[in-house]
Amino acid sequence: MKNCISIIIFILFVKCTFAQSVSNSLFLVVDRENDTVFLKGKTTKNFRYNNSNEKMNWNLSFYHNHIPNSVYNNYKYLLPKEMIIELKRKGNLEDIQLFMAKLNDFNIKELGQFFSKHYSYYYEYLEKSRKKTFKRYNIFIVYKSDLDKTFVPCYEMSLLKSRIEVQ
Amino acid sequence: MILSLTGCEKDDSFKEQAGDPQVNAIESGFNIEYVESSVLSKNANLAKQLSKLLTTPENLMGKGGRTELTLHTQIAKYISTEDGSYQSYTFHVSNTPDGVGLENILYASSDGGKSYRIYLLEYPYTEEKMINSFGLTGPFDFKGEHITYYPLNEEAKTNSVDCIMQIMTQCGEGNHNGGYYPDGSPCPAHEAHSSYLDCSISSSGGPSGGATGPYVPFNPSPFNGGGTGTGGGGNPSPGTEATSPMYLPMKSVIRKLAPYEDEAEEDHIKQCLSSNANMTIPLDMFLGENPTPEQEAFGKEAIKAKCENSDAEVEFEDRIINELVGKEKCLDEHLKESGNNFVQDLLANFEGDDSEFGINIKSKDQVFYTDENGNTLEVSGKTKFTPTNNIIEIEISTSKANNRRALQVVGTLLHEYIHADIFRKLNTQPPSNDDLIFRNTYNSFEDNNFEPTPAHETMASLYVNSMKEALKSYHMTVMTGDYNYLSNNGQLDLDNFYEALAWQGLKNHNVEAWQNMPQNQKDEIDQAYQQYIFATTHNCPN
Ligand SMILES: [Zn+2]
Ligand SMILES: [Zn+2]
Repeated sequence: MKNCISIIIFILFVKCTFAQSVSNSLFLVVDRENDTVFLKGKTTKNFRYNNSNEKMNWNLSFYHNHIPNSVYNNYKYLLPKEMIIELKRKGNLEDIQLFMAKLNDFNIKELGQFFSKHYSYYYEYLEKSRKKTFKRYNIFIVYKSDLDKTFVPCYEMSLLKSRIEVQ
Repeated sequence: MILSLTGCEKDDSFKEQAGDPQVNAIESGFNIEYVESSVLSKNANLAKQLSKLLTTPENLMGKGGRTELTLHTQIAKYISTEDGSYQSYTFHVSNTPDGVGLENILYASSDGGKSYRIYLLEYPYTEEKMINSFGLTGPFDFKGEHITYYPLNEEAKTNSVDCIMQIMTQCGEGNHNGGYYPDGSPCPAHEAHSSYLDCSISSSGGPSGGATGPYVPFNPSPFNGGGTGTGGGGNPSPGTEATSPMYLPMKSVIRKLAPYEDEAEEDHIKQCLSSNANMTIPLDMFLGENPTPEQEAFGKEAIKAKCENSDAEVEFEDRIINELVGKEKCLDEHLKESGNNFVQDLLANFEGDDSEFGINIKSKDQVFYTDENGNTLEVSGKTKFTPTNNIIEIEISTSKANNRRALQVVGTLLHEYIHADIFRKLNTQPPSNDDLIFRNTYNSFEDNNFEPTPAHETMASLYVNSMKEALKSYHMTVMTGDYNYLSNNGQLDLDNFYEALAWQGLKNHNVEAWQNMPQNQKDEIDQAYQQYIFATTHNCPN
């Protein structure tokens, strides 16, 4: 019984925190059989997903970092499976390769605008009682192998664009 | 620092050896460890002997037709008895003649390190063949084959001995063969032991009959002519050495770089390593015992680069693969000698176990760039990140470099290294405080235009002064003749000229820092460029 209550509370909590962001959030499904995820450092917590666009001269990296005591840590949510199903129904969840294919014809300017417009927000935090902000994205990676779990881990991703530089 | 022992692998194979009369019991306690050069150098006597061998290579030459051997002293396998009476160091050597097996240099002492007998040992197989025949974990069964050994500091004589497989184990319960005590009962701490496969040789009065000669088991005690010739029969030898061929750098590297994409990649890596043996030990040291994914990726990249281009130079510490040629290679090498440490300091940030990114800088006949509109143009240099291996790739145009003044090419090298540095600062996780301040600057140049790029804006606002100082220092310390000529022996101030060189590749993109500069200052910089550029040399100094 106690367990049951805590799950319900958890669902309510998640629903509340997600209420305003769910419409502009993106959940990308990574199939580790087919998609390459680069683990970083000696821990398996941190990873990176890359997509290069040779034609448009850009490289897009999603990375997830969790470093003890850092304000720049990415979130890891545990969403109930029902919610994942709901996200899929609403079109917020899709395979990462299908999503990346949609970016193929973007130049770097359009790429930046696309992510800023649809998924970004400014996160506020206090540092020595001064208010600071940085840009975050409502973009999450979900592993295909986790989709059937009761609570599905969703990894918030930071975004990094780089391009070919010439002289 | 002492490297940890190899893991306990293939226990089952030990069991098969139990009861095999050719596997000999180890009676005395011994330790085996890998030691690095920093430890070796503390052994003054050994260090002296090693440097003697290295400085008088004739000691090494002429043995079995060797003309050039490279002795690797970065790491040694160290065997010592618990009472300290016997100790030996085994070093890997490369540049062995074609068709010759794996070779080691063995330093063995039975007087606690006061004096060493030195041998060049040749095993029956190359490392590559051992791995191909026995797999990465062995056991390496040389039964019926020979080790040839050449004493280096005694009267020359060459001998072969039977190489009989011997598995020595070491665990908390003491040392014994094959994971079993001599009476055949298994080691209680069976999981905890490490295994070693060694052959034993006799240094004097050794085996005479080749394959039929007596086998002298590893037994450090009977150095003074006593001893037990158990198992093999025959006369006990007055000088039994424990040899240790099994520092197999290639094996170690292949194990650490696993898993591979497929068998083809693994074969390719093996093949590259065996044809570039000199890189194997530095690579193994770089990987350490527990390499990060980034170190593994850099290691694989270094191996592949070396395979495709045997002139490629790899600096594992700096994480840089250098495939420059000709003039740009020459100018790049001098960057390290320049009185100003700008480039060294910049590259130092790529060092260390936590480093995520490596650099591959290479020459290309011509370098092209196709922009978003499909227009292709030829450029002097290009920097891009290749995410699959975490390498920042820098291409330098040879044809452009050949046609340009030396200082312009140095400017291009600096410019591209700075691109790599900017990329590192933006991508390193977790960011340092300096990185965060840097990111604020970078982010203030929104990525909303094609030109100038935020990287060029950032370079213009944060790096121009460092580039100017680096170019000035380079000119004064590396290109002294040209500097004296251009500055009239130091009487003319060339600061505006160096600044102009730093602005190349930035001001033409119309970066903010240039736009905001007062017109008269811009004019002075442009004038200095026109005044001096055609008087400065094309050539890289010798
Ligand atoms: Zn540039
Ligand atoms: Zn044992």
